[in-house]
Amino acid sequence: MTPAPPAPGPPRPSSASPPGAAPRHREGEQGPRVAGEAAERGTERAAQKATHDEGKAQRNGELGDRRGQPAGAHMGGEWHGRIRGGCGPRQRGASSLHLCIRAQEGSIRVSLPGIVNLSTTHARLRQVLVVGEIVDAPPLPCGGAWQWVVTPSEGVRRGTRRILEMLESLLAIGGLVLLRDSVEWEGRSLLKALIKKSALCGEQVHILGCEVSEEEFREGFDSNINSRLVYHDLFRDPLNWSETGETLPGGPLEALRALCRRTHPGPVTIALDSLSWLLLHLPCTTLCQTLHTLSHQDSCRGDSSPGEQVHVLGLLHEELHGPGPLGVLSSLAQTEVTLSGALGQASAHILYRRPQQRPTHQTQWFSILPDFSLELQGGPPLEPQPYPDPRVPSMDPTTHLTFNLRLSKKEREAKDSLTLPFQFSSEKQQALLCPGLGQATSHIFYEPDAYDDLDQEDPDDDLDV
Amino acid sequence: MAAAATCGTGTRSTGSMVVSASRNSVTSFQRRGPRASGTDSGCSRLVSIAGTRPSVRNGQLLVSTGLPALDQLLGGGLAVGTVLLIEEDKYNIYSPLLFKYFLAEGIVTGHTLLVASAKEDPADILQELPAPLLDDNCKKECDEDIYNHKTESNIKMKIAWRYQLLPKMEARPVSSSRFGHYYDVSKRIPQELIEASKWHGFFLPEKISSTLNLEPCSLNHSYIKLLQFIQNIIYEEGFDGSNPQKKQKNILRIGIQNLGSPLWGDDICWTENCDSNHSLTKFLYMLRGLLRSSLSACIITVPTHLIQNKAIIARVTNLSDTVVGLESFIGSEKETNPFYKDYHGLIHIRQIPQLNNLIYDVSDVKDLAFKLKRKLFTIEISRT
Repeated sequence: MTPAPPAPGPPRPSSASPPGAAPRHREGEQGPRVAGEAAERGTERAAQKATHDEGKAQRNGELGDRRGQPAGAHMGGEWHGRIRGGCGPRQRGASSLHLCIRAQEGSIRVSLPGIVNLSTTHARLRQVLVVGEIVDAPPLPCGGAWQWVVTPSEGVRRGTRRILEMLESLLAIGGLVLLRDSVEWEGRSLLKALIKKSALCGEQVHILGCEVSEEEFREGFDSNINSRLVYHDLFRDPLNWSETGETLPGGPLEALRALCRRTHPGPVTIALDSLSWLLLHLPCTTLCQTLHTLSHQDSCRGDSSPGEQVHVLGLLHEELHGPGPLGVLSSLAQTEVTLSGALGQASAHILYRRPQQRPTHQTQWFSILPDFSLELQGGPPLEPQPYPDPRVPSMDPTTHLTFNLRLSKKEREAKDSLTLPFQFSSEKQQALLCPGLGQATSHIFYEPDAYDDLDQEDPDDDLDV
Repeated sequence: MAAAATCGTGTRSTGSMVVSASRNSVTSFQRRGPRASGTDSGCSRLVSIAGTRPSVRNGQLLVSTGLPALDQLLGGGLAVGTVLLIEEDKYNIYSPLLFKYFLAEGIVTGHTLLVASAKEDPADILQELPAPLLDDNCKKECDEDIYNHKTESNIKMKIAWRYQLLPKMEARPVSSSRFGHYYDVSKRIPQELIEASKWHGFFLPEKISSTLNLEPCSLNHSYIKLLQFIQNIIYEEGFDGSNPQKKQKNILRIGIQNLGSPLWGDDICWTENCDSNHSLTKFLYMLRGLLRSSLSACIITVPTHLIQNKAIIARVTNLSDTVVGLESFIGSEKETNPFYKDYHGLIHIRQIPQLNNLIYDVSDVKDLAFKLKRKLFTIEISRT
């Protein structure tokens, strides 16, 4: 996985430091750490993350099905977030602040309830919110709550929306999400990014790990996410040889069925670390039937609100299977992501199969950061047609012919003004074209031509018969 | 009769034939005789059941498939006692529509339904059936459609203007007969119609408990269960004439969805050489035996694009009576082909049965395309 290039340095806030504040921070001090995450070297990374609200955020219940969104200006609602100060090797003891972030149309208000160490906080928060621009920074009162009004900059708003849309759109439909990867473009990091997103949205996450060990899988997640993951380990001892009783009896099939039978209400995400492993160890029809039951659990519970969806994320290695299993799993999946790429950039070709609607597809270039958040890219720097266009460009049947099918303008005019050999007035044409109501008999319309010789006499009169 | 039929479809040049052909494009010769549909006639040979009519070609009892255009292509309708096999399109968008048309027609004409599926609950399938169009409404809709068609074709044809009168397979509803209704796909069937109808559902995950360790046998267990279910219904309700019924005879319409997919426990979509190579073919053989001895008609959708072994597809086609294949343009290179820009896919009539006949009843047009408009599913001759 290519490491993401470091983002450019944060733009200096246009307004100078608010009057009256004595910034007591040192020059080299880095930005605050968002709760629980690994130490980051760059302020820019922290700033982005804080703006994306990837700290421990709890929704205040006003957003419907938008969960855990970053503080984007296009959404309303209120979040409570926590920012812990201190970072890096010079950590001076974590002091955590409780923030109240409210986003209304076009602006974000940050308020700090309670009395805290305001001056250092202010400086740290300025660096946090440096991705947007501070437009209104009132002087600090001695205590109590105060507010900033921040409008995020345009680029962040656009980028935030696109990042939202890719991960959210993958999880929007519900059901089975199939991630097809290959040796060159691995999909486990995208799987982990989706798991992280679901965990941050407050869903329960169950993981059936078959291919890598639990420690390796959990690596890279921070502790609050790790605490939300329920890991079913099938890697260490799948056949239960050690008989310690730790592994699930019955093997992978029993584990899947246990997941089907769970009774805990609420949205849930089930990640199958590798469907390929399960395909090789279970009979195919049983696996398909179990997957179908898993992804359609909510339907048997009566009404299913969109917040109660079950997401099943399955990782499939394309090269291990023939066209049969791939075709069958594609037809079972509601969303299918095929990973490919060019020139070091990964791309995802996403196919959405909403029930009873035409399937739509979309291609996104992306890269995954070391903390398993997603960053969208524009595309590879050189554009030599990275992968063959699946659709042939529209055919023009009049090309490559040995005869001429085109008309020049004069020829077209001559053709239009040509009188047709049969003389037909428009009324008679209309009368014949519209099936009339009273016309049961047929009529012969004969208009004599200039050359017609109508002789009323019987031509056979002179015959002597 | 055969000569009359070819005469009716062949000549289109004279005005009188054109005028009457536009009204009933199958043949311009009407058979005079007792109308079997709906009336209690004294004719003992023909069974007078609602929603059926005898075929003009071979005297078979026909039921409508729900799409009058498809009825025309199949020679008047689907014969009672036969299987209509639909080969699904790649993303399974249009074949459920034909399936639902068939079931909706059964509800409207009062037939008993039997719906079997491994994917969706039959009750949910019935909720999504299209709403029938009443006679005055549907005449208005069809008039609009035909008018739109005519205005655009008026502009196009200057020299071959007589071909504008060729019917485009959009037969107007003949209000006198009750065979073949029109449906509005954008609306759902009213709830009271579903409740007034009699239906039986077979949802596979409920009928089979997956924890049993089943030893493999020649026929798939799901198929065995389904066959037993169908046989029970036919026997109990008297569709095979076993109990003399006091009430009027009725038709059983059977609909089986996604047969052959792994959700039915069949792995012909998985590999080329699999253990249960013959399950589906045996099932179809036994099903056809059940159908031939009872008053029932069956529609089956099979995902043939997923079946890996081409020989199985050929066997399945041979074992069914009527086979219709759907090919949608989504995702294929035909989507951008300018010839096909008006349509959503092609429909292939792959097989039509010879029932008490020596000749096939094949329609003379081969290039048929379908289009799903907002309210209607239309089948037209693709003008390539």
